[in-house]
Amino acid sequence: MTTKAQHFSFDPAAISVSVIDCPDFTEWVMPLLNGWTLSALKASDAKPSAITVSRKGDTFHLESNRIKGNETYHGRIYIACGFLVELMVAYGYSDDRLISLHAGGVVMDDKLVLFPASGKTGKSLLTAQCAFRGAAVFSDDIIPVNVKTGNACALGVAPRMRLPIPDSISAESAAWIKKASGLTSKHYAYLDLATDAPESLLAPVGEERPLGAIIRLFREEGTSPKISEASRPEIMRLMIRQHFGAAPATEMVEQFAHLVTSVPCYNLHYGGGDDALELLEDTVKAI
Amino acid sequence: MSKYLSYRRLPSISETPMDDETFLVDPSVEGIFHLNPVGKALWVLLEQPQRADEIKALLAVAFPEAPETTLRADIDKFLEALIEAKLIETIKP
Repeated sequence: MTTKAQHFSFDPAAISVSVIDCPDFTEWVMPLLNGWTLSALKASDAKPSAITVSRKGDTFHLESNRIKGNETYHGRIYIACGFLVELMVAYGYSDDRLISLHAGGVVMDDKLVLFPASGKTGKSLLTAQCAFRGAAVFSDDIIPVNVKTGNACALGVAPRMRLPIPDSISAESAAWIKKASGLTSKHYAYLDLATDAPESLLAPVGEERPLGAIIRLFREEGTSPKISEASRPEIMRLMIRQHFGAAPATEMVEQFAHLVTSVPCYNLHYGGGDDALELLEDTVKAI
Repeated sequence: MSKYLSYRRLPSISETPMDDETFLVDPSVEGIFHLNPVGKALWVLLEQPQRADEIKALLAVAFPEAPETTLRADIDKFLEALIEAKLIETIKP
């Protein structure tokens, strides 16, 4: 039995990817990316792969520098999830000026608003709700920060929704999310934010912006939205807990401290509904 | 813990204060440490070598609301933790 191996460089980060016995993989992964380009490499020119995707029957396997052994996935969307996480991690480690944060982010009123991850607080759904109201999505999962400039970088990876969409959001938001859903399974849907349109709602990989605000989310069923000033050391601790990257810890702490002390930091308590969006927009507009 | 020993910061540790807390980095192991307000106060004292009994007396004045026995025990534990983390060292008189 023969295997068919393809080798690619995912640019602009020159991340080497090998795809084995899965000839259509890039066809359904590339629509989930904005600004990334692919170049096919000859086996003789290919560097050792940072990520390898292989398929045996209905089962996909994923290997990377980070994964010990390999991970097994059943279904396109699941291997896409695993692959995109590894791609984002590889991007984060591709430049030693970057520190990656587990966070979502949207561009609202021309300001980048960061939602650091802290448990299941609905950052992906809130990101999608913001997009429904016209905010560009920077990321719903990982955002690298350049420790030299303090700017956040977009990774150009489509946001992924957990399904079913909760009843707490408005019917209009839910309908928009359903319509924007691309690669979908019973449990997840990637949003297709018109990455080929001139005014895509998904910021392309490499786009850099200074932070405008940091907002920690607290999602509590049935809560009316409330926004209050956050403790800066608490936000700093959260960011330190949720980071990875190759930049030295001293530079990372200095840059995070600079970011946390130079932009407004808030706590947003909300119940998941669209009413939080108006409060969020008003708050960001007032900055 | 000897009452005759003095404690002092290791010079290689970098410090980033924020409000009444502080973040420390040990660049040799890329370790990051967070100090709460009492820990920060203790760290500030250790800019100069201090004995444990001097630290306890000064922090008892700075945090009068903290029960003294608890505060003294916490300071002993905290100094041990800082030694273990290689953020401070002891010096003999």
